[in-house]
Amino acid sequence: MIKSLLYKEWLKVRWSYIGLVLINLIVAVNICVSLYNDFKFYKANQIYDDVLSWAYIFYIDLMYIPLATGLLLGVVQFFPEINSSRLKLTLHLPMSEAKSLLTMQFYGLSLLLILFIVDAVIVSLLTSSYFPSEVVNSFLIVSLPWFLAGLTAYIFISLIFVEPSWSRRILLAVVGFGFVNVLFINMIAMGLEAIFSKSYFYFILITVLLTPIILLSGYNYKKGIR
Amino acid sequence: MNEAVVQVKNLTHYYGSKLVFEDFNFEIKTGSIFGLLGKNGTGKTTTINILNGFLKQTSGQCLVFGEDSHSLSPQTKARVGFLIEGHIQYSFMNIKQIEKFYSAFYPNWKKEPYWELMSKLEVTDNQKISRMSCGQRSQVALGLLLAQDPDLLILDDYSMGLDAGYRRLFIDYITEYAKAENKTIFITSHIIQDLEELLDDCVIIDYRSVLLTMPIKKFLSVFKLYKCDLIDSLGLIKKDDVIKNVEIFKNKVSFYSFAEMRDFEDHLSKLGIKHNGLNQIEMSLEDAFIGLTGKY
Repeated sequence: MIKSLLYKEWLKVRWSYIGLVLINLIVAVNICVSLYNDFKFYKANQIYDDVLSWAYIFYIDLMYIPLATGLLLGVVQFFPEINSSRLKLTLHLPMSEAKSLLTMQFYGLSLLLILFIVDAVIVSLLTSSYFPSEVVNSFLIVSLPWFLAGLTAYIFISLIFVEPSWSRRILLAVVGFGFVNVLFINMIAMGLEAIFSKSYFYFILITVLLTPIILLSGYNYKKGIR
Repeated sequence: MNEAVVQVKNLTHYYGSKLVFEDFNFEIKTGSIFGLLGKNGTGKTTTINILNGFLKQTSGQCLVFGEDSHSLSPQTKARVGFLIEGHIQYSFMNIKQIEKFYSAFYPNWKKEPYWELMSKLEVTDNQKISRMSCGQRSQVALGLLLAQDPDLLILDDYSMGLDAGYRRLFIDYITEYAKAENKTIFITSHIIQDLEELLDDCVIIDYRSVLLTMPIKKFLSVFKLYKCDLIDSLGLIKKDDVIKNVEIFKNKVSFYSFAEMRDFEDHLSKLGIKHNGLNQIEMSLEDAFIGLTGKY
């Protein structure tokens, strides 16, 4: 049954997901090409100085891509469920409703994680071919909140779509916007010092803890709350 | 054989402060075709949503195969086929994908009736449901329900958006399905005339109340339409315990009543209503339904 449910989710998101993969790859390749051109047209020590001393983030184009990816995947996956009350079909399937909802969400998060790991690997490989490992580490930690923002945005979109009450939807949207904003503000305010920020642990913890809230939204949906 | 598949006990529901219905009671016996009839906005879909666990009632109890409708086990859900109003299905799938998807969930899956219906549609296996007409989508939804082979089939306004041909096709297949042993059907429709030959029992609801619950044949035999010409008695006519409804056009009047002809004549005499040519007219289910619930 789980396999069949995953099949449904794949049919729903496949074209959009392929589009998102292409966009992510184009951005990653563009970062590669830009860095290649930087090294071609400028002196290497100047670029090293910019990156190490002036915190030049050569992969800044990636910043909002995971967020947009998470938002779009959430919409593409959950809008068809809510449109014309198709979620009733899903919740009427002969399996636990909690299992259905968590499987759907887990599937979307897995697709995002795979894509984000590919992004991170491409840019890490690129970085490691030009810079020492410290710069690779800094990339991973600076970009971690961007990827977390993508996952968080996806989770909030799923909650907003499944939740039937408009007042709670608005509340979730406001909280989600605030949470995602904090992830970006944290990075901008703290810069590379954020590398050592313990707050990342809490952001990851909160993101993980947000996922089961879909069960509450599902419960509200089943109660017919409007 | 006569054990109740669905039991609705003292069901009351409010949307905010608006009462939808109060103390609603009925039972659906195994093997019967049960119709929930009512005008638009009387609570048919609300009842179906409660029955399928998609709406928590304000009070009362709703049991499906003995389980609370709001917490049906997966095993019980597998025994219930549910047609959502408007024949909603996963429209992003094609007809092959959707059959493959559902077949994994139901142990008694019978793909033959599904493909039999699909062959009538003259569509390819790759035809996406979203690109089908309303009638074609209804056949996809029906085919999936028949393939599921449920013990209880809940059809929420199957006739919505369908032309006469597709409605007839739907009813033909449902009739055939109902012949199978112990299959129970709970159906709502706004096109009453289609249900006359199909239903065994019905409950007729009006705004906030239940008007009657009884076998359809009994309803058609005990509920009567009397027509006559009035002689200067227009002001005396009003609804009461005997006159359930009345329609007046110039001096011609139609009375709806559960009373027998002789008792009805006596009642008119007691009220002082003078008339000519009182006679009983045969009614279809739709006539009787409108007679009981009124045109408005």
